Amino acid sequence: MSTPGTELDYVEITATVNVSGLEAAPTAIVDGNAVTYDGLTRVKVEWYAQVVELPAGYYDLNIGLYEAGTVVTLLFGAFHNETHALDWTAYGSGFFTPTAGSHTYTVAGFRSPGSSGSAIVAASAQGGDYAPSWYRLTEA
Amino acid sequence: MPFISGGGGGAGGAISGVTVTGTASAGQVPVASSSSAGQWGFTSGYEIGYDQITAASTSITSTTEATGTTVITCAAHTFDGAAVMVEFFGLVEPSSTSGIIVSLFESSTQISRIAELLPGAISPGYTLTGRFRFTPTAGSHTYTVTAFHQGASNGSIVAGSGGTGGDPPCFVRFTKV
Repeated sequence: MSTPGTELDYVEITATVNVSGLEAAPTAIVDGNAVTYDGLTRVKVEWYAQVVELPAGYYDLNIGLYEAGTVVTLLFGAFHNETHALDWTAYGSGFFTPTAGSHTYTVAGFRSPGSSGSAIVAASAQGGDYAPSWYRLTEA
Repeated sequence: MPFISGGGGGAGGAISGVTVTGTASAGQVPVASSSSAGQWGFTSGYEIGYDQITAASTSITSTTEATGTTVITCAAHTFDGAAVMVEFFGLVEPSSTSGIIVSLFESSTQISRIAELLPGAISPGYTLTGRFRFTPTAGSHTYTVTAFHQGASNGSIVAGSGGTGGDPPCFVRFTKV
C-alpha cells in the first residue's frame, strides 16, 4: 500500500559540480541508489541546490532526471543573458510512475549549444559555504 | 486473533503480532521496528512546525552572516530525533549586485545556509525557496531564519497575508522525512 511521503531514495553531494555537457551527454550531478519499485506507485522526484550559478553572457541550463542516459523528466531550467554571473537557489520536482523492478536514476544537467563555459551547482558538507545539494524520491 | 489487542498508555498493545510500546502523542501512528516490536512515531511528511511572517517588508540590514537580520523567529517545536526537511519560502528583493543569503540558526549556531540569491546586475524580485535535510536531537528546539547581504545596499524580504493582489507569507516549515 502506498504511503504518500515515504522516502524511497535520498542522496546528497557535498562537492561542487561544474555542468558543461550538452544535451546528448549531460553532466552527472547526483547519482541515485538502486531502488526496487512495484510498478504501481507514483513517485515524486525532487532536486535542490542552494546555489546554481550561470556565468555571465548568454547561458541556458537544464537539469533533468535520467536513467541510463535517457531523460525521465526535466526538473529545472534557467536562462539569462546578463553581463554578470547569476547565483540563486534552485529547486525542481516532478512526478512519474517507475515500472516494476529496480531502477537507478541520475540527476544531470546540460547547456544549450549557444551557451559558453560551465554552470556551477555548488555544494558543501553541512556547515560549509553551501548546503549539500540533494536528490530525493518519495511516494506521491 | 484480534487486529488490535492489549492496552495503551505505556502498557503496550499488539497490532497483528507487533507489540507497540510507549505513549502516543497527537498525530503519531504505530511504527514497526521489527516483525514483533514497534513504537509510536510520526509519518513521513508530518508537519512538526510551521512559522510565518506577514509583515510587508523586512529590510535585510546585516552584512554579517553570524549575526544576520532575523527574518522568522520560530516557535519552540518538539522533534523526535529523526531526520526532518526544513523548507523556506520567501519573496526576495535584493539590491543591485548585492545578494541575500538565508540561513537557519539555533541560538548562535548556524545549522546551514539554505537559500541564496546574487542577481549580479539588476535588482528584480525573486521567489526564493530553500530546503535542507538534517536531524535535530530529540526534544524541543527553537530555530531562527536569518539573512544577510553582501554589498553596499540592503535587500528585503517581502511578505503579506495573501488574498486578492496580496503577497503570500514568508514561511519556514519542518516536516518529518
